[in-house]
Amino acid sequence: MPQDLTRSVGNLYTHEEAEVQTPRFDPGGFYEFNLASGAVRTRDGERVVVVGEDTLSALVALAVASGDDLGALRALGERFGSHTRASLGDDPAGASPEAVLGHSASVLALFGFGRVSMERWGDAMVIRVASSPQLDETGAAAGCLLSGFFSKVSGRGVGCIPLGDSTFLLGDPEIADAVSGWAKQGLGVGEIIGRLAPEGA
Amino acid sequence: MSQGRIARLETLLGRVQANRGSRAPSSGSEAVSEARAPSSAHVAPPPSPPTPHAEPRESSPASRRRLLTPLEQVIETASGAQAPAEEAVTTPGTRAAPVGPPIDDLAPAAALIERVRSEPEPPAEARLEPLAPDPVRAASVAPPSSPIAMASGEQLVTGRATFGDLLDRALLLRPR
Repeated sequence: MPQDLTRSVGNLYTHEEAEVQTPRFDPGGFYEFNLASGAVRTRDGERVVVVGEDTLSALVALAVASGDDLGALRALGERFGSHTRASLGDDPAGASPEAVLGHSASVLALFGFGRVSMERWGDAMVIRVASSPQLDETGAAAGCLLSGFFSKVSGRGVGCIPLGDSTFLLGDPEIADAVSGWAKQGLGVGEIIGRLAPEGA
Repeated sequence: MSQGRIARLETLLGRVQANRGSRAPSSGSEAVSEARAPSSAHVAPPPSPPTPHAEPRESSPASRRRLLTPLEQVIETASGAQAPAEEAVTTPGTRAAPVGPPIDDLAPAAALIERVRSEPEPPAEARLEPLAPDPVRAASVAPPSSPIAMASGEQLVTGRATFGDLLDRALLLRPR
């Protein structure tokens, strides 16, 4: 069979995946302290209040104990997510995971909510937060905050389901009950993820 | 393999020391033949290519043994010995001619051989320890029940997948 040696136009171009140049997170000037007016604002104008960890933990524990839906914490996480989206400067869905995680970790660290890292277990994504403030023992409050945060960052409905030890599974909110139940049974991260499979598989 | 090489070096070193007194060329014709001797006859076979992702650390005894390859060349040159693969082309009855400057003092070489010989063999895993793990390969061979990538800040290794790609897959997970 004759071989076509004609050079096609398409061969003159090399297809390379365009590197998305995500700006690095700049923590400089994030807070503005106005002593004259007694206000602290972030660089996008949001007024914030500096409170102690003990104070916040007590308020959160009260909300958890009373069975509130922790909507305030979710809203707080969404505010953090807005800062992250603003610093990313582009649609995070098309950005590299490293860029999204770097900006996310920086924003959460600036607000004092610990150091966030991410792990991939097959298709599953696991969020770990080190040095986080002790909001409540169950991790439900931190889960609400992170759910709002990652939902805002990604623009999709994302649940951060507590697995214990400041570890959270990033997934569809529909599986929250099942995963929480396994975590309460004492199953480890690997065991829990082993009970999950892609939809339709 | 290293033990065999050391033994060979010792043999060569002994041959050098035995021949040191009788190395002077006896005739001019031999000197001419020396000049025509192909230099490739004394080139040791090239070292085998390093195994991908399994380069030993430079400071390990294995790497120091690797340094014996040029040393082996020097001793072979001084002793007139040849690499086994090249001996087939040597005319019977003639000895390969040395190339390069004469070796006056082989004491450092002998000391190096003795030092390498006295060092214990490193464990296999130490010799095969990669300088840096290959994240792509690690991700492809990792079992699904263990984390295939760990991230802190900007160290997450995900190949070319975007954050949206990873999130899409994560959101599809359901209880079995």
